[in-house]
Amino acid sequence: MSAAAPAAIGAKLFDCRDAYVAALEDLAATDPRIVAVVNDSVGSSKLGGFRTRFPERLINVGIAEQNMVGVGAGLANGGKIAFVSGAACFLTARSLEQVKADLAYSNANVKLCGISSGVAYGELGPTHHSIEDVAWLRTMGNITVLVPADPWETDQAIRAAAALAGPVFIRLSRMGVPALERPADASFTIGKAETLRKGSDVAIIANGTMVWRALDAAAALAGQGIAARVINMSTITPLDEAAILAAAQTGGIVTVEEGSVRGGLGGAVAEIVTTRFPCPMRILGFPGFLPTGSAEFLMEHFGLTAAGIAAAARAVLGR
Amino acid sequence: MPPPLLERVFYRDRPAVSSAGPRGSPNGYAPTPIHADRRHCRTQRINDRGGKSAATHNRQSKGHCTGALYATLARAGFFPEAELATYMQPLTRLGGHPDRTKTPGVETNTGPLGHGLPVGVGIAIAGQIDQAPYRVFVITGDGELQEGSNWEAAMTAGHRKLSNLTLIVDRNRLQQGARTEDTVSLEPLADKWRAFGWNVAEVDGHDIAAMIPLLDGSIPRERPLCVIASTIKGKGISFMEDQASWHHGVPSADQFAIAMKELEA
Repeated sequence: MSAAAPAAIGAKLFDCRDAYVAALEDLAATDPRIVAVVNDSVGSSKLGGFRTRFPERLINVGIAEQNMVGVGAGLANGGKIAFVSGAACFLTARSLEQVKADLAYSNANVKLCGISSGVAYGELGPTHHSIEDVAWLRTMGNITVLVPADPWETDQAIRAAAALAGPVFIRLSRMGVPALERPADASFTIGKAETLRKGSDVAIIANGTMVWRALDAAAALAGQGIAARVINMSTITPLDEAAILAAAQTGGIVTVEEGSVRGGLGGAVAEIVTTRFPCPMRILGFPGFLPTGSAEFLMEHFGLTAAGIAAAARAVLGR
Repeated sequence: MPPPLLERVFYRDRPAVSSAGPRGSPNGYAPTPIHADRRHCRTQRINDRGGKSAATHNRQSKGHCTGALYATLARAGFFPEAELATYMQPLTRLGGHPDRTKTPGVETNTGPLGHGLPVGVGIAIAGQIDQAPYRVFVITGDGELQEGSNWEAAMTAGHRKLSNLTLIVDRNRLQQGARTEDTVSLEPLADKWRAFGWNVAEVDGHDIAAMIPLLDGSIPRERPLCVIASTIKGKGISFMEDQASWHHGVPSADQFAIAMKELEA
């Protein structure tokens, strides 16, 4: 089931995996250090084209995630820039200790690309949902965590990750998202939040597949006389604390993410707000193991919609 | 015959070890020649030389054997031998497990078991892609082979015919709690590696002269090599030899004196 057409932006939806592989192939064409490591996930990672163009640089270790991450660390140690791609649920959970010891603690130059994160595999159930990944990885030292929102930002995130010497987790989805409207001179910087809509009554901080929904919510709130700021917090680590502190000086903050309400974007923002500038806050996301249903069903069911976000914003303001 | 340098270095610094523990099987592991002989221990951090050098990569998956590792690295000149006195002391860079971001000569952070071989496989693949002349050595314990990640990596190495990769298994037959064969048996171990597409050599791990030809690259091959080095933990120390209880044992002052006397006899 495809996402409902967004009201605030263009109706065409994009699969950000396409932007991911286009950027990776582009980088690999000029940088021989770029390699891709997969766990039998060439198809789901859309790396068939990469394999055709750079067959010796596509390393398929089979269905073996612990080995996959360790091999990625070894490739980095051998001078490569390894993009290790697989379904986010297995890439992070199955190999979590390798991510911790071989990548984060070792400060290895590896880029983990978690495909189909969140509830993209909704109907397959909680084994295939990946709503804990951000919480797990952001507690580790050294590892940069990126959650791009649309094709342009995915392209930028992949390029920025390749240019950064160190471990990066890039959380990608297969769910369709619209291309966000940006000024022509827009730029992407790791650790810098992007204000997509100005407003000082309340701030909505979102990332990934939730950003366009947050923009829709802000449009609806405007019709009700509420000026909502919309912040795209595509970098979770390192966090843009200044943007959060500025948001805390509106009437309050709503965070929204396609992930667990425990320890993810909401948790990260709350850590800053509660210790530095307490303000009313709501954290929208998923509560834990989820029932079976399509991604769209689950988002509707748990209020991760423009209407749900707008309602949370009104609740923050007591209106 | 005097004990090899490594044992002496290690045991000389043994009293500095805190009561917190480690570090198991120094003697079982120590005689491995790539660590005992600097001519075969040209470990450098890959970051210092861009991955094109002919130097050897050493990966110690037995991250708990830092006593032996640090003693070897100090003797090889990576840091002053005097620094061994800081082993496991507060804020040391010689922690209970190795940290590549702190300790010169350490290339891989290990400690949790089953990590060294996958990383070594990755380096070997990088060398294969680059057609680089370097060779990759990984040392694992034997009990450690109960970790499944080793066999994931073994399949990858066999499938890709990583002839630049050598694994040395410290086959001392003891793990933390008991003998390997009484815990979860590894035998027939050589057959397992052969079945995964590796060449296998079985040697006496205390016979350095016998091990050098296996490790010096003089024998061309088309597959990864697993050297199963049979060793005896605590060899040469009467009360430690082949005792599981000494895996984390720390000798008393009296025991230390006896051990040194026996090693130097």
